[in-house]
Amino acid sequence: MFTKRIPAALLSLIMVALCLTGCNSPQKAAESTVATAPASSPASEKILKLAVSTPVESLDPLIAGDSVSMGVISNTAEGLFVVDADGKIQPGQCETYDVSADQLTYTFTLRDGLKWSNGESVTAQDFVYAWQRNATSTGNLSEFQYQIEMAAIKNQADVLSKKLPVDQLGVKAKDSKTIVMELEHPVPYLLNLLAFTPWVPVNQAFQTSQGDQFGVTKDNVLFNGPYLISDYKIGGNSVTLKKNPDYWDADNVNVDTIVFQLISDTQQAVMAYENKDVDNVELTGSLVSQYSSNPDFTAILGGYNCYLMINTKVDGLDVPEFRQAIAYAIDRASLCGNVLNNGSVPAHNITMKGLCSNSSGADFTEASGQYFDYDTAKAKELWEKAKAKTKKREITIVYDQEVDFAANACAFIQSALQDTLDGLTVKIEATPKKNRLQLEFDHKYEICLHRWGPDYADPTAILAMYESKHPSNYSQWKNDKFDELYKKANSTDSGNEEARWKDLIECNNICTEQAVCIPLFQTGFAQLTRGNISGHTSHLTGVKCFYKYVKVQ
Amino acid sequence: MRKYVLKRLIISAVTIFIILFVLFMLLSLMPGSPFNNQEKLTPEQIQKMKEYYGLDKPVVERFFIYISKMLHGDFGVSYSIQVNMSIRDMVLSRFAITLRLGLQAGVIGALVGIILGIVAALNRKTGWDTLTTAISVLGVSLPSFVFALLLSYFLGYKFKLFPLLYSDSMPIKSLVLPTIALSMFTLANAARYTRTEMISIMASDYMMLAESKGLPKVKLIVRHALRNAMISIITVLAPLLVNLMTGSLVIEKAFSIPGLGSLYIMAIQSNDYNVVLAISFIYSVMFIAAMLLVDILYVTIDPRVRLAKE
Repeated sequence: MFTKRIPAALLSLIMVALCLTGCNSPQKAAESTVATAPASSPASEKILKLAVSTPVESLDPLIAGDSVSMGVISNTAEGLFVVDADGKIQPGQCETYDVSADQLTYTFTLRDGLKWSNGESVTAQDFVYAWQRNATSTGNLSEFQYQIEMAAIKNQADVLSKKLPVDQLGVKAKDSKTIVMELEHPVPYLLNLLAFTPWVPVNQAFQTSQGDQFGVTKDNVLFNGPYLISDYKIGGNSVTLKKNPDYWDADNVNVDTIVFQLISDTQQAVMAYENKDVDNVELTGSLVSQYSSNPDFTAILGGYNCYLMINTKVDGLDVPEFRQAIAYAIDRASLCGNVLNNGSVPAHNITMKGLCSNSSGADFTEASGQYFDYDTAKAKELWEKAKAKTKKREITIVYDQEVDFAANACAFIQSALQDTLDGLTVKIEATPKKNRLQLEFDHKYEICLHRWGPDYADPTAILAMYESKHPSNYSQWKNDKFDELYKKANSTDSGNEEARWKDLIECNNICTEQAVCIPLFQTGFAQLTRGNISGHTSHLTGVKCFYKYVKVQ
Repeated sequence: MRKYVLKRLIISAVTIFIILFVLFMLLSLMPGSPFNNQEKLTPEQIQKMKEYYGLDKPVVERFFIYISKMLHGDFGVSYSIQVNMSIRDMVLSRFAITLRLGLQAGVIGALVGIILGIVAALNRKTGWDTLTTAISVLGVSLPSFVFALLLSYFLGYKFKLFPLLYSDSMPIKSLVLPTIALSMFTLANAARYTRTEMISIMASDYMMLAESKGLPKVKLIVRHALRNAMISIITVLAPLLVNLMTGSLVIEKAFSIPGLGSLYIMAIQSNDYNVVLAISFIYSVMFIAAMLLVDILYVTIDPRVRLAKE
């Protein structure tokens, strides 16, 4: 009798539990989405929900180095310029600007009535303070100091090295609406730099009052951009932005609410997309080919190139033929099509396609020489020459264990090299990314699978690291011709577009041809975006998307 | 008893101190800096950042500074995951979710498991028994992420009964699927052990004696059989409960739950020392506390067990 009651009791218990869970939300089961949007939102409210795979690191423009944080900061704090959906630079907080005939002095005039979220006015001094703060920052804020250097602001080197006080930096607030910036040499990509996160204004009084907590939570920052952060909990899994009613161009901001939903697992993110919990999701790995026929699918070139970074000071790897033999022995088309299968395309150049173009619209990378088409005969020939010059017959390639495609890509390269280059043994080693970076930093490696993306739209964003004295010259390569051309492009030729273009193309060709850092492939960027959304961009450099240009139909 | 508990508490404190010391030393040996975008920093900048956070001091000195601050409730700040955020704020909010999820899964898993085990033992070689055995085998052999995927696909995506992702605005409903997925292993183990124990106890002499004395069946099972069976079940369940809290990483990832597990992995990968130390500290305390609790429970359930000479 008793035993018969147990199943019944068990069933009743489960039913009661189910009823209780059901009672929790009065919404219909079919509406059980992530509920990140407030239940009371009006029917006409336009909401954009985006899946992101990493949390927000910081809201301080000098600390945030990841694309999610930068996306949140640049859409809530606006700089002088922004980039529209077509990739064109548009004025942001700046209404007009003048450039002197010698291209060395820029005068920016701010719009009328710009406001911080605490009601104070946005002034020229806020911009000057933000840039001076970057130039003098120490400790954990100095990550973007190189931007001041790349902008070639007058006296930057002496201010950065503290030989001159910061008020000697070539930026001044002439009055509350006018900023004057003096440069050491013309910088053709200056406006593009100014649209990047580290250049957004900072309200000095507020920032000082927050001390080291500035940018830690939404209450420790001020906003002057098209959006305000309305919800960002410590340890939460979403960040919500709301349209800023005081923004100068609020009438043209189409989307009312943007939700960044943290989903670290791509498979789960795609399921959330199918479930309509999010409106956009980035695809990786095999999901790219799986969804390539979906009507919501779009694929563009990504911002990263993958390389084999070579330590040219290692005995044997200092022989150019050794490196070139490796470069010719890899079938990049097969690597991209059969191994990676994630939208990546073969790369035959150090720089990436789509990085920048000249005034006549030519792409820098396409205008440069194309190197290392798969050619086993040429690889064998170079290998024989290399063998005569060095006794080295074994190389080790290190890759990041966290990168999903790295192990397969390296195994492919290992087998390609061993098959083609007779007598060469290739070892491959997985290591945590932090360790790989340290090995490169200490020059204690032979070859690394290396990924690099540009911060601004100019070839120097990539080529700088092959200049012999650059701190990121992990290859330890030194070429006088390259150094000379690079210097010319950033000094005497910097005001002459044609000459500068020629210098940098030659730099690019020398560096690629010498196989210092063998280009393998340019990553793809594939995503699913709901059909009623337009203008959701993924710019190759700088801030990926300025959401004021996104429209939800 | 009190003396025993006190002794155990002292041993626990020493153990935690040793764990933290070893961990601190190991972390200082890890290659790479704890800072973001290391590849774009110059050696001078890294040095300045180390000075800023006091990471340039000798490791032993840093350890004692850390311990003294920790005793005052200051666990430092995060270096890379959420830069400059206080670890206490960062970890506490996540700990609450992990603890809730773990406890929910543990209690539901243990309760349902024990009930299933009893049902199976009392109905040997019937449909109930086969069903319980099948659930046990599945629960033990299938990893929790398979349950997570199955549940989110069918109950979340297909039938839309529950949300696919965790949300602050519906903390109960959005934790139903993760709780079920996480509880399966405990449920299966509890069912298996309870069944085996109950069967052997039911066949023992004292049970036969008790039954022949005419004790009512409920009293017989609850007072005599179950109480005896509980000793071995608890030995198995206690560490499982702690595992639920430390090992919910996969479930956290699958349902996008901002818990401790995902933070722990992120912290290890990015060398965020203070986060690793704080979470390791919490996990160690939980494990040691669970073990102590088990020992105390033994006495409560079985007075024949004596903890120490009293």
